Amino acid sequence: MDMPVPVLLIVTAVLGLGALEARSMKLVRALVAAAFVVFAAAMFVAGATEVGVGVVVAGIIVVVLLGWGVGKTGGTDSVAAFASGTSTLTGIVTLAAFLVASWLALRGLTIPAGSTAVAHSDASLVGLLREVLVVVAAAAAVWAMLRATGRRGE
Amino acid sequence: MSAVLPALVAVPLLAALVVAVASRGPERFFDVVCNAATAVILALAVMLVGPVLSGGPLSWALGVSGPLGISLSADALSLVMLLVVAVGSLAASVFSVSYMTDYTSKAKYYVLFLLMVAGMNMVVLGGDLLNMYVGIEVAAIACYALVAYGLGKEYLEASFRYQVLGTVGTLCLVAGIGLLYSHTGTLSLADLGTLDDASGVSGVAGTLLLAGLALKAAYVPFHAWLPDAHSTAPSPVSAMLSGVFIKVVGVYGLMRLLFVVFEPGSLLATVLLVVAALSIIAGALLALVQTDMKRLLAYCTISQMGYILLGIAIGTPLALVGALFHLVNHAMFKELFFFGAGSVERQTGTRDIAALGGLNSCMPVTGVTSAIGFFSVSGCPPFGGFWSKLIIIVAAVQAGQLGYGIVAAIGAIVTVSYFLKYEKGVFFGSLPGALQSVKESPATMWIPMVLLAAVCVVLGIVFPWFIDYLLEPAAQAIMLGA
Amino acid sequence: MSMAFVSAVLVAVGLYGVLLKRNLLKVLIGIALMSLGVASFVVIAGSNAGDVDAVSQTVGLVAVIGGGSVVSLMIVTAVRLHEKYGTLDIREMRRLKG
Repeated sequence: MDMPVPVLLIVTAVLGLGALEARSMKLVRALVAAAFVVFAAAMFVAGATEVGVGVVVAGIIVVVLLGWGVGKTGGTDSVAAFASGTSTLTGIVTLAAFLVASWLALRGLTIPAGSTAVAHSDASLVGLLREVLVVVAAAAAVWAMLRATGRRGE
Repeated sequence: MSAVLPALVAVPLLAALVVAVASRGPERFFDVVCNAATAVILALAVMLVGPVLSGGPLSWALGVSGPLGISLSADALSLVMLLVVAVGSLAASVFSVSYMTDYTSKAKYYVLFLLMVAGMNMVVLGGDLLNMYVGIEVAAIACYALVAYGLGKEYLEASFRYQVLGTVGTLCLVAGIGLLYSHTGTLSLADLGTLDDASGVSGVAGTLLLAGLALKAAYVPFHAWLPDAHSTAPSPVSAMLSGVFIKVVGVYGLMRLLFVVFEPGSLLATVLLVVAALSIIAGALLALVQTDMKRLLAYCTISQMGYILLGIAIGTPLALVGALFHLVNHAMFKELFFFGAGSVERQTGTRDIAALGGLNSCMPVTGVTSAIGFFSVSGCPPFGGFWSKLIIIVAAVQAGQLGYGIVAAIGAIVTVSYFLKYEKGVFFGSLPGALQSVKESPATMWIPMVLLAAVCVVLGIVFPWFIDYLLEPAAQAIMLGA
Repeated sequence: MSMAFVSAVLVAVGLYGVLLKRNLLKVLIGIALMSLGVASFVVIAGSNAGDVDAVSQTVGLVAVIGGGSVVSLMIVTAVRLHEKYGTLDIREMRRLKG
């Protein structure tokens, strides 16, 4: 595995963190887009072209929708920075526990380097059909929620 | 005959497409299309029973076989799940005809409903973990939208939370699948069954998969999303969610992976036992204090899922049969109960047990069918629920897990109490003045209730045959990995 | 596998967003980041000297597409919630807790 990949992933993480912290939703959107781009680059460098392409497509859709969403809900994140009280504490504890657990679990793992890359050709087409199915489901869900559905009289 | 397999996924997809394209047409049209589709699915599922049970598992593949292509396979376990999905979705579909007239845009509802069915069929027919997973994803997405269907505040909140927790669950599953693959080089269920695992990778992968499945199946402590989602969704959706969906995406995955990744007797299996016990007790106790009919039913689901998990975690053939039988029973009576609650809500305008009472006099069919459901869930002979709970308790004792057997028995007693409160509060007693003019719900709503009640009764009577013919082979299929 | 831990860090950033942020849009951005993290984990687990196994790629792709799909749905849900409540703050919504 090349050196650039972990670096690119860290950059993605930093951009993501920035997106979570930024106040101006336009900046948030830009940072999210950047994170997707950097991550896609990481995937291409790592040799996972399929994933890279998927990230680009998903990224475009998410960023566009995010723009629409931001437009509908106001341009700044005026919600107070941190939730106060116990839920913050449990959140921090969970996060810390997650990092510790991942470190412990992944440290002892050696992934056997034996898997061979199987030829793509027509396999990709069928796999794509499957992905299309997922996207269709999401599109149907968005379609249902976008337009006026609901109880009559509500 | 193996062409039936893709048909089970293609039929609901095509029906969804038809409804989507014709979405500005008359409502009756959608009613017919959806019900016809679910009826066809039931017929197809029944057609598979003979060939699979006598001739062995069937399989079908598009493109490369295995995870890179679409590969489907049906064995006895798939069959049981298929039948549950088919009966459940037909019943819900019929119920929706009248019930969903209260909502706008039936077309979108049916599209989502059919997508959910297609996804679920893909899960139970998936020949490898990846195909199963895609089915889970499709069905889950349809569900997220169905839960929010009313688009009122509560539904949206419940749906958002469900989306967050559900996605965390699916991500756990993906991580587990990816890790498992890199270690074993295969995702096919058949191959995984024959593998021998020595390293700790299975442990990590197993934990991830378990976490994902637990979130999807709402086992304690990952159950938080369920009461909101199942109680605010439209009743046929609640029925499908509690009765069918969480079993397909949660329990079924666990069964497939049981001897592959989770060995009974191992640490993970002990964790499962504890989770099961917690679910049984917590679900039951929380149900006891509910006054909203559907929330009570939702907590009941959490509790009953604990029973199913208990059977799975014990892992003996008898326990597995008990778990499967309870899965089937619960699907039947839980749908029945949600239909009943939906009926009551629609006819009276409320779900509050405190505000109801005496409905037996004006909604006799709903009342009687609910009572039958009550007997089944309470474990009263000769209804189906009695036998499945008994089998699980006996299996626990036989396997040396006396403590868990006792927990199960205690849970059963608590179950009776909260359902007594439910029945008494809603159907017996005196009819409040405000409800004097309430009438029975329309035929398309009580017909499915009657049919499901009949199934509860029949299962209780023919269970030995049912177990021998259908459940035993399914349990065998689970144990193939042993 | 320190490389895999980097994936875990990415997931952790996303998890931070999900657990500790009160703005719905930030929560769903967290989910998006978690999806990317899991996808990178799967790719790393499946790579063998610069070449990534086709199945691992498919699994990674599924993670991304699935995550992206749900995030899209979440955006729409969040907008609808904003319509009903006038805010994107989780705390203001009755039953959603941390």
